[in-house]
Amino acid sequence: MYADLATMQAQFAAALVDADQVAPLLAELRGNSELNRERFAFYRGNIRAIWLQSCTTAYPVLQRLVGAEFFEEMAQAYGTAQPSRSGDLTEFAAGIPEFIRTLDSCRDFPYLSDVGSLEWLIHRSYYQQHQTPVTLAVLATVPGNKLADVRCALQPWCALFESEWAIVDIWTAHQHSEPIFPKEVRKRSTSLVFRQSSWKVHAEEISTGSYAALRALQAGETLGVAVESALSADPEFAVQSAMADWFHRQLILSITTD
Amino acid sequence: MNQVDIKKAFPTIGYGVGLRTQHYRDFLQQRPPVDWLEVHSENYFGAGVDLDVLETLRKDYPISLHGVGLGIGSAQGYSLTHVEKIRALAERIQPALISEHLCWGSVAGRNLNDLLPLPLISSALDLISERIDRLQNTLQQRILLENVSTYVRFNCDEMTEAEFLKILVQRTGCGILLDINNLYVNQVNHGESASDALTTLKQLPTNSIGEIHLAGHLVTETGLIDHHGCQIDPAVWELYEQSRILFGDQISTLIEWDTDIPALPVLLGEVDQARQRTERAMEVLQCTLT
Repeated sequence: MYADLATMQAQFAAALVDADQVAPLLAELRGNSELNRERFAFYRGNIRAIWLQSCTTAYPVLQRLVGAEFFEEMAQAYGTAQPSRSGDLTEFAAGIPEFIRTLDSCRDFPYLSDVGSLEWLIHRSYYQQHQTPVTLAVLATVPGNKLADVRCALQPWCALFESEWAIVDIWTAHQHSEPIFPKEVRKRSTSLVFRQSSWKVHAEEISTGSYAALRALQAGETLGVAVESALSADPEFAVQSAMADWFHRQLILSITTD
Repeated sequence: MNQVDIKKAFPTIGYGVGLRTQHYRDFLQQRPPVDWLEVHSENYFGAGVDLDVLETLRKDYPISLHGVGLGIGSAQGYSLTHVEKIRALAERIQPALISEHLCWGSVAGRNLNDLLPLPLISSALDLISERIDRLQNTLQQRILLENVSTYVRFNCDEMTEAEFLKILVQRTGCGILLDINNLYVNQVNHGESASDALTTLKQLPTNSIGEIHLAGHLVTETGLIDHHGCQIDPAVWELYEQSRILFGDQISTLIEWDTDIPALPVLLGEVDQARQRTERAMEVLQCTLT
């Protein structure tokens, strides 16, 4: 029914993404063809600026690591290869960590993709709601013999990340204006993404025990199973101080007993 | 089929600014003296920090939801999921105004995430009328459609943008978000008279225009770019005064600033200027009448 409009829009879109497609479109535009070519370039510039902006918003550390010029090229290649599917750009750059993994030029820096993955968790955390957490005092009302059966729901903004690389060290170093790159990057890390204040999302390295326990809780396991997971990852795991830390950070949204 | 009360007047809420993250702190801490706030709807689809801020500020300021990602004129790729997100946000925020742009933004398999120019043809008019009807029914509210700045026009155009908007209002009962800077940009870029556009819109019933936008543009050798990144041009202020004389001083006015965002006092200065320009226009009107 709207065949004409659809054809025209498809032609316009093709020219936005591919410079070779501009010439056929120019014939459809009113006025001076050369001026139209220059003005159409505004639209071509806009779409690239939007791709770059979306990637910059989500991956500021990655941008600093690879440099502005390379990052811009990467954003253009990504936007061309993986079209935006929504009028809401929040999720557009989700595929960047995987995209980096495919780039020959990044092969010598295998940690880049994981830096991207951590930044994406931080980005997503920003868009999750903070809800009133449960306090340690509430947990204290559970009878001792029922404690192992408790299940804890975590805040929607709470995320966990594990890497073969010292990702949190790299990320933390790049929160400063003059970052010092960590000496050792080939180092396994387990990290927590959390809301530091009502404004700011932060990432911090946590112990392998705490990581294993939170992973188990996030998967819906009981506190008993979570503690077992923690102890098998780290025999030195200190249950009480880890739990005090979780409640202090307001990670636990609610608790239920079966 | 239209199911909303198209006679219901758009509210008069005074002089507002676009709320941007750079100014969150100012607004949360001081509640600066503007009458209302407008946000880009898409920035509040998520449930996180931004929505928390908006839910706090809506208690003190009327809110306008201004969509930039729906692409109401896209022949393909129009998303009902996007419509649903607008509806859910509107239900939560209870906005004074809801607006979209007269543009398109997607094709099959790709969203261009821009306000792209429509060919001003009857098939586009049919498509958009139908979409506005459905959108107004979904939102149970009259919506506003904004005239856009464009860098190209099409050979196939059958009417001016103002005529296109006029027919949309007559068919659907929607309102117009009159962007004065966009009229000026198109006047310079395409030789389309902004005054003629205002005259065309004057033929519509009173209360067809529900909001006015004012913003800065960038002058280049190739043409004007609607970048919302500087103070409002004197020629745009003059057109604003002209629109005040034609349409009165009751239409809510918004200062938009989206790139190179300055400290809030600069925006508040533009708000004051809008108030003063309106007073001046009303004095001119009084003199003409007496």
